[in-house]
Formats: sequence, C-alpha cells, structure tokens
Amino acid sequence: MKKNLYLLIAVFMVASMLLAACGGGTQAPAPTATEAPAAGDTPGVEPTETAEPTPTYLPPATPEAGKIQVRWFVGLGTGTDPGQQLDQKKIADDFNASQDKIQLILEVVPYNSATDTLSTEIASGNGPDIVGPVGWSGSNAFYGQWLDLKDLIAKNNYDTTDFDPALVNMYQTEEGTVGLPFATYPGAVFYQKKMFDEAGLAYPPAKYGEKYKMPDGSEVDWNWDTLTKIAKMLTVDKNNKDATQDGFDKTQIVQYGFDPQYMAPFHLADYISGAAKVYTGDKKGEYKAALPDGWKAAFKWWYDGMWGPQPFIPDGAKEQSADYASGNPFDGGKVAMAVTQSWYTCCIAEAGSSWELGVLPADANGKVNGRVDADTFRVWKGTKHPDETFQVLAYLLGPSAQALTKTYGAMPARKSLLEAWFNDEKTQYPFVKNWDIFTVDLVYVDVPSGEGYMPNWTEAWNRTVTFQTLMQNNATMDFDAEYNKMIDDLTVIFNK
Amino acid sequence: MFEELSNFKLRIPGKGRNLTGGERREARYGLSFISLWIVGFLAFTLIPVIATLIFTFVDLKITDGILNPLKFVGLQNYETLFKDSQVWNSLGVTLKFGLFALPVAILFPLLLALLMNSKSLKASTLFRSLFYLPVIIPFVAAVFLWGGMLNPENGWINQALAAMGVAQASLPRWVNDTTWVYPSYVIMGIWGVGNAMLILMSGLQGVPTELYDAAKVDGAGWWATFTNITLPMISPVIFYNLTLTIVELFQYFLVPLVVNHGTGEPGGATLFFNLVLYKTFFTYQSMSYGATMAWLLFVVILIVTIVLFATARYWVYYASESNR
Amino acid sequence: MTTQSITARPIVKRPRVPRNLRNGFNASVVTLITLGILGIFLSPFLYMLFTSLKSPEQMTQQGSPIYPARPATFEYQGEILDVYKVPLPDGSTKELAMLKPGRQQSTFVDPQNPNAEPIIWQGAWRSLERPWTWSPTWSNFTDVWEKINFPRLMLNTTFYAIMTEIGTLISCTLVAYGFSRFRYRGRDILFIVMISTIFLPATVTLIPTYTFFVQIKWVGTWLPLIVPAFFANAYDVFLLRQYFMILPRELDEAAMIDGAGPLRVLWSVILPQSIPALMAITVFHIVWAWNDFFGPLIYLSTKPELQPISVALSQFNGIYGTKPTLIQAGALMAMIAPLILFALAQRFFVQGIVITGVEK
Repeated sequence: MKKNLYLLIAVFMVASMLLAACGGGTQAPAPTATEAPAAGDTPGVEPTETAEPTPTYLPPATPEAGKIQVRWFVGLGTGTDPGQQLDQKKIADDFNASQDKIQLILEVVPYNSATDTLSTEIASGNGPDIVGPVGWSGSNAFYGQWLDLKDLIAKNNYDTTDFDPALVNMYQTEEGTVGLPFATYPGAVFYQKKMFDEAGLAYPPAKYGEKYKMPDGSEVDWNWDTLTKIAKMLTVDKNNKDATQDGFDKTQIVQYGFDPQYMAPFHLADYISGAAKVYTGDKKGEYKAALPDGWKAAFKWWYDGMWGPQPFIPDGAKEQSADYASGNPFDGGKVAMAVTQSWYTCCIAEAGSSWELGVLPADANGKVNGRVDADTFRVWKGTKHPDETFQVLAYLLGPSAQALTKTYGAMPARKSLLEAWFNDEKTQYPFVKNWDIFTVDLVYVDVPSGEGYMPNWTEAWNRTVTFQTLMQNNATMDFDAEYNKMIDDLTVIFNK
Repeated sequence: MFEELSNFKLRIPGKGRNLTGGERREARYGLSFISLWIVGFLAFTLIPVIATLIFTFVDLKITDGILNPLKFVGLQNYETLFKDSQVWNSLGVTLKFGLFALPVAILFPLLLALLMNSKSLKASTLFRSLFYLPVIIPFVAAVFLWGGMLNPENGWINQALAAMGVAQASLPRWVNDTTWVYPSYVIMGIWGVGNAMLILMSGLQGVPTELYDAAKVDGAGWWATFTNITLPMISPVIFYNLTLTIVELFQYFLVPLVVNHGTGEPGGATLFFNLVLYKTFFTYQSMSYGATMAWLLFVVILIVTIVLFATARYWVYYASESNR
Repeated sequence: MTTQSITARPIVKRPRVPRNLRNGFNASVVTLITLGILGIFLSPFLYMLFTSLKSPEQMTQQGSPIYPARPATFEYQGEILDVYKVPLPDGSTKELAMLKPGRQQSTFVDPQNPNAEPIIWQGAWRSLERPWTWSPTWSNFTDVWEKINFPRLMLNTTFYAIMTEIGTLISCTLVAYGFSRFRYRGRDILFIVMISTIFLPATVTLIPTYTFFVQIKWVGTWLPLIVPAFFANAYDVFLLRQYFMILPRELDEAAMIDGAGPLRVLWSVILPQSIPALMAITVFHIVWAWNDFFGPLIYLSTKPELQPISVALSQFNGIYGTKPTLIQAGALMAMIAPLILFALAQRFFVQGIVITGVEK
C-alpha cells in the first residue's frame, strides 16, 4: 500500500518536472530568433510542427538590446488570418533590416480577446505603441487612450496631399488628430446576376442617375422602395413562387432577396436614412439618447422585411444556419442582394462567379446615403517613444501601405495606390465589371460615422446589437415598446 | 456535513482556565497545519471581498491602474445600479433560467438514481458507468455537441420531431428563440447529472433495509414507501444538492459565454447576471460598477442561502436525531 | 386481502403469474426504459461522429441524408452540373444534370447521353431531390489538426492538472489533518468559515484578485492559476477531514508513544490509510482541471500557446464556428483523452463518488 503511494507520488513529481522543463513554463513568450528576413515561410516554433509551418498565432520576436522597441499590436480589427500574419511579419522584418535604431515587434492577438488583452496591457502600464489596423469600433472601445498626432505631424512635416481631404478630416475628433488615413471601405450593392436572370429581372443600375427598368417595362428611380419591390420578387419558396405571388409559402423559403450583410442597426440606418449624432448633452449625467425618426423607420423596415406578410430578408435563425453559411448569407449563395462595404470581398469566396456591383439606392428624397468604413493605425498615448513610433507609423502608412492594404483586402486611402488596388481586384474577380463604383461611392461618407463616438461606446453598441438580435429572432416582438426600451437603456448607459 | 453545521457546539479547550502545556502545544501544531488555509483565506477571500466593497464606493476603470489615487463617489454606483434596467433584467433572466433548470437538476438525477438502484435493472454497473461517462467530457465540447443536436435545421432533435409529425413551421428554433433558449441550455447541461446521480445512489444505498422490510410487512405500496421512507432518508443529500445547485445557478454564465460569445443573443434573453458582470468588468473595463454588481449578487445569494438553511429544519431529516 | 369464505361458493383461483416470470417482465421493462433513456442521453456522440465526417457542402444542402454523403454531379463541357432526380412525363424518374434553372421550366442534360438534345422540363426545380452517395470527409480531422495544435494543448492541460493536483494534495492533507486531529480554540469556528466559502460566489473576489495579478504582471502566465491551489480548497479539505475523523486513533497514539511527531504520524499512519480518499480527490481534480474554463480564460486569453484545451476549443469556435463539421471534428479530438482516461480508471471515479456520498 505504502509502496504504491510512494510510487504514485514519485511518478507525479517526475512527470510534472518533465512537463515544466518542456516549456509549459511560467515565462511569457517562447523565445524565437526570427530576425532574418522571412523567406516566405516561418520557422516552426513548437517541436510538434506539422507540414504546414504556420502556428495559429505567431509569437512576438525577442527584443534586441541596443535598439528601441516599438510594439505593433494587431487584432482589434483585421490582420489575424494566417496569411495576413505572415505578410505583416515580412513588413516588420523589412523595416528592421532597413535601419538599425528601431526594432519593430509584431504582436498578433485573436480578435475575440483583443480588447481584453489590450486593456490588460494598458492597465499594467505596458501598452503597445502602435495599434492597428483598427476601425472606429475598435478604437472607440479605448476612447481617450490615443495620442494626438498633431505635433508629430507638424514636427516631421508629414505630407498629407496624397489623401483625400475628406478622409483626413474624418480623423479630427475631440481627442485631436487621432490618425491618418490608411484604408477606406466604401459601400455598394452586391448582387447575384444568376438570380436576376432566373427571375427575368433587370440588373440594378451600374451608374448613378440611371433609372431601373421594372418587369412591366416602366422605368423608376433606383431607391429603397424599388429595391424592396425587387427583393420581394427575388424571394422564392420551394415551389418557385416569389413573395409577391399568391400561394407563396413563407415557411418554405429557399432564397431571399436582400440581406443587410454583416450590418448592425446603426449601419443600416445610415444607409436608409442618413448619418446622425445619436446623443445630446456634453457631460456625464446630462447625456440623452436621441435617434432620428428615420432611423426608427429603418429598423422597422428591417423587422417587417423578416416577419411581414411578404418577407424578403432572412431572419436570425435562417441567417445563422449552415444553409446560409452561418451568418454570411450572401456568401452562402442564397441571397440575391446585399449592401455592404468593400471589405466584404474578403469573405465572398463561395458566392460563385456571377456576382456584380451596383449603385446604392437613394432614399425617398432622392438623396443617396452611404457609409465609408476606415481603418488606420493609432498610437497609444502612453507610448514611451513617440518619435520612433511616428517613424514606424509613417513607414506603415507610406512604403508598406500597398502591401498592407493588399493583405487586408482594403482600398488604400492614398490616391497614388488606387490603380494597383483595382488591378488586383480585377485579377481576383475577373467577372466583376463595375469596380468604379467604389471610387464613386467614396463621396458618400457617413459623418458622423455610423460607428462614431458615443459615451461608453462598447456597452451602448452592444445594447443596439441586442435590439437587433431581438428583432431577428422574435416574430412577435412589440416593436415600439422594445424600441423605446432601447432608447431609455441607452440614456442610462451613456451616463454610467 | 449539515448535521455538523446545525448541531455544532463550540468546544473550546481550556475555557475558563489557563491552557496546559500539552494543550498549548496541540494548539500550536493544529494552527500551523491549517496555516496554509488561513493565509489563502486572507489573501484570496477575505481581503478581496473587502476590496470589492471598497471599489463600490469609487469610480475606477481597469485602464486607470490601481496605483492612482482613488476617486470617491459615495453611493453613486448604487444609484446607477438601481436605475439600470439591464442589471435587473439580467437578474430576471437568471431567475427565469433557474426555474427551468432547478427542477431538472434535482429530479432527473433522482429518477436516474432510482432506476440504477432498482433491483429489476440488468447490468446496472454498466449503465451506471455509461450514465456517468459524459461528466468527464470537457463542458465546452459537450456544449458543441448538444448545440449541434439542437440546430434548428440539421440537428437530430428537430429532425426527430419532424419525423414524429410536427409541422416544419412549429419546430422550435431552440437557441435562436427567446423562449426556447432556456430549455436548450438546460439540455446542453444535462450531461452533468452523473455526479448528482451517483451521490444520490449512495444515499439510496445508505437507507437501512430494515425500514423497507418493515414497510412491506405493513403493506405499504410503492408510493407510500417512497414518500415516507426513501425521501426523508435521503433528504440531507437532496438538501446538499439543492443548495449547491441554487448557488451555482445564480452564477450561471459560462454556457452563454461559449455558445453566444457573450453577446446575449437572442435579443438579450441570455444576458445572465454574471455575464453582464463579466462584460462590465472585462469588456467595458469598469471595476467599480462590476464590484457593485458583485456585491448585489453576494447579498442575494446570502439571503437565499440563509433562508434555505433556516427552513431546512422543517423538511430535512437527519437519522442521527431522535426527533424531527 | 382476499378472504376465504366458508360458504359453498366455489373458490376461483386466479392463476398467479409465477414469480420468475413477473420478475423477468419487470426486469425487461425497466431495462428497456433505461436503455431508451441512455440512448437519447448518449445520442450526441453519434451526432458528433456523423457530422465530423460530413462535408461543409452537405450541411448546407436541403434534404441531405443523416450519414456523410455527397450529392451527385456531372461534368459537362467543362462545367460541373448538379444532378437531380427528375420525374418525367412518362412516369419514370431519371437522374438528370441541371443546365439552366428557371422559374417555370428548366433545361437538363442526360448524363447517359450527354450529346443528345438537352431536355426541357416543366416544373419547379427547387422541389426536386438529389441522389446521394456515401462519402466520409476524413480531411476534416486533418484540417482541425492543422488549425489547432493538439499536442501543445494536451501538454498544457496535463501540466495544469498535475501542478494544481500537487498543490491541492499537499495543502489539503495538511489542512485537513490540522482540522481533524488537533483541538484548539476556534477550530470549529474556522471550520465553519471554511465550509461557508463553498457558497461564496467567485465573482465577489474576482475583481480585486484579477487586478492584483495584473499589477504584479502575473496575468498571461500560469501563476495565478497554480499558486492558489497550494492554499487548500474547502471541498477537498472537507472530504479529507471527514475521512480522517473516521480513522481510529489507536494507531496515531501508538506512533506517538513511539516518539513520532505530528508530521510523521500524518505521513506514516494517516495517509496510507487514506488512499481511497486521496485517489478520489486526484481523479476528480483531473476531471475538474480538464474542464476548467473561466480561470484559464481570464488569465491566459492573451497567450494562446499556454491555454488548456477548454479555452482553445472555445476560441476555435469563435473563429470557425460557422463550419459545424470542423467544430464537431475538433470536439471529437478533444474528447479522446478524457474518454481513454475514463475507460482505464472508471473504478476510481465511481469509488470516489461513493466516498464523497458517504460523507454527506
């Protein structure tokens, strides 16, 4: 008995010592020597590497003595795909090889935990120097933590003429100049030609000002009303009946006409009704939520589109189901039209080879409301080396902008790089003809951004998303009551 | 264990006189052996609890860092708490879920234990192991599996229902429906009953057979035996199960965190109290408000536990007591 | 109770079912019911097995069978066409490849005679079924293997389990010993306090503890998870203390007479008698460590290479949640180790529960 006990304890001890030695240790990143410029392949870190050498997340490089470390934090936005990680690593390595004062260290963190990681780092006084690529939502979660770049821009005589002035303006906020344009994502209508063909409908217009030809021959304006009518005709059940016909069985729908692809309520409201500031008041305790009536109408449009007598938008359960590519319905090939931003070309691989781009619909007053998402790199205000960090920033925004925007699927903000971007897209999707729409749609910017600042941004945004999922999953919701509840909750949240 | 708690008498050696050398030595040894726990208790329990209380009176965010001077704001956090409908909604969500989950968590293991214990069951050891098996599956994996089964389109549960004749349109949307999501979570957690089942089984086996024999002689039927002998004899075990389950259910949030990534989908129906607390602290980075919520939960659980213990006297039967 | 009358009424004796038959009947009914419950209870395993072998396309197709299968396709003039089961006007059903879909009519090509005239068929093509063939997708597993570093995860989880196990065993035996074999002022109060910490919600201590670990830069390492294990936890102390109290004191006293100090008594007398309880604690602890999610989540979310399997699996779900075939394959691979452990050590699990049950 006793001998067994000794044996057992001994085995435990030995095993744990072995495991501790094997590096399950209490130290932070495993040391990697990756200073040599990557030849495209990453040297494997773990001894159990398989044929594909890419680990899920590249560990950051060890700091070198004698150089100033500038840490580049990726994960609040895009940049976490394995291919993107390799590209970013190459850019960091190239920068390090090009000079010997600064060492740029890349840190990639999973998107789901990026906010937690960053706030932990900031709380322990250990924040990174550059954060990006990050859009409005990611940076609003850390409102107040970004460095005002105005002085550094002046000190370095940074040239901003290659950027559209509207984009430069976008980054002047109450915090100061919080960023410089890097990548923009204008919006457009994505549609499936095959589905229009099958239904015998004309395609959405390719240029602004063109009218749309309805099946009965009449020519109408291309606005949200028209889009709704078309979408209903493109929503088909199992017996090939569409939503406008008698005998349409809305429990057997196999194809939908429209989806607000990857949108939150504020995004859709911006498109349908136009941008607006969502709160009044200017200090804690005095904020009040204030959404325009047009926004409420936009939400109702979405709700009725899912649950009304002639639905044309997939509801929550449908959208999340495997049939509809689990939340990416246009990619699942089951939706005829979607309105979304140019970054959507990242996730459209399964949508087939007959989709096309069309112009955005106008609202009832003939005005086109669009949205432009924008990503950039931001500097943490607690950075210990602002000058070196700005140098890195200039490098990212300048010489490496082309490579970076390519890997992110982003449209570069620099006018000089646009042509190369369009050529890339044309090569990847040769069947799409209407790429110009993105250049044209750049003027349809939402100011303030649909993701623009509100107090306690993350919590407020989550409250609107809760409203969205309630809409999407509840056929019998009391719309007005829930809408008012959201407004009240937002006021409480703003004042927390 | 609860016999102890309800019967405990303070045995204080040496009360009323000085300790002898032997007693002093014994005390020294005893205290030094439990010193590890005392240190841990102070460092990981007592001090944090007090610190949490202090946090409720300040305005602190994670990114502020703890070394900065604290900003006292008095009762403002409590004021905001009382007006915050999201917090009270989440308490409601937790209670609503508890209503679904508690009966299942208490009755289903009891049913299984009775079945396992039944003399008519063949190969009961094999059954027992198989029913216990899912307990050791990591709960994240179990959630995925049951999530797949509950998929409204290709999950087997809905396909079975459809095969039994339920119309396509009335098939429950399970995790996507604001009402069916609670039974879905209960189903996802059903694999944890193995523990309670085994505990109840050993409780059942602890009932002296003389009592059953006596009952049979008196001509008692199955139901009468069950309610007058089995249930009272295992009531301490049920009480233990009940208390722990209630305390756990108040803190339930890991499953929604894994299934819905903490978004509270669908439509806020899965915004459990602890989930909101987790988001307040980790996502919105507010330490003080999170601390206030934590204390609210603590007080609620404390009250419920006290009530449970106070009423235990009336329905929990301890064989060691000679009178109820 | 039947009473027998002395009158001349003939006594009708109802043939009594022989006891064995009745027992056998009860046995089969009860066993069948239990088997049914067990079947439903364990059905997700089967679901997982099937789904992990399906292709992503099968998940999105209407009318796909339960088993892993592939719908038939036909290559025609460089394009891959979907094959449907088309009911023809003459009553037969042929398998034809869809060339051009339309609302009222569709054009098909016959795979048997691809060069013949395409067939125009009137009807709603969406209501047609497709032929399926058995086709397991083994590549799901290799996909998951590449995306998740399973060996590392197993290593991490085992490391976590063992380190916390050591801490628990050492500290809980010491503390339980202190609570059971010694008498001193305040012992019972302290014991009550310890038990009541079982009911303390973890969230009340979470915030300052986490912040403290952030400040001393332990977040992102194993330390916040392992160090507290060395300070004893209430469940295990309680179990051991009850167990110790049952052990007879004569052996203790004999050893003490021989001059053994308390530590020696613990080591040579108490522990050897407590092997069942210690095994129970060990076995439960391993299961607990394998399952532990929240602690590793908040302390290790920033360090994917240190995470145990529960956290890694949930992050995998965050990234690949839209691909149910991969999720099920991943879950299957994650379960293999605990299942093997269970198969080898079932006796200990059950014995352990019995011990804890007895102590209630």
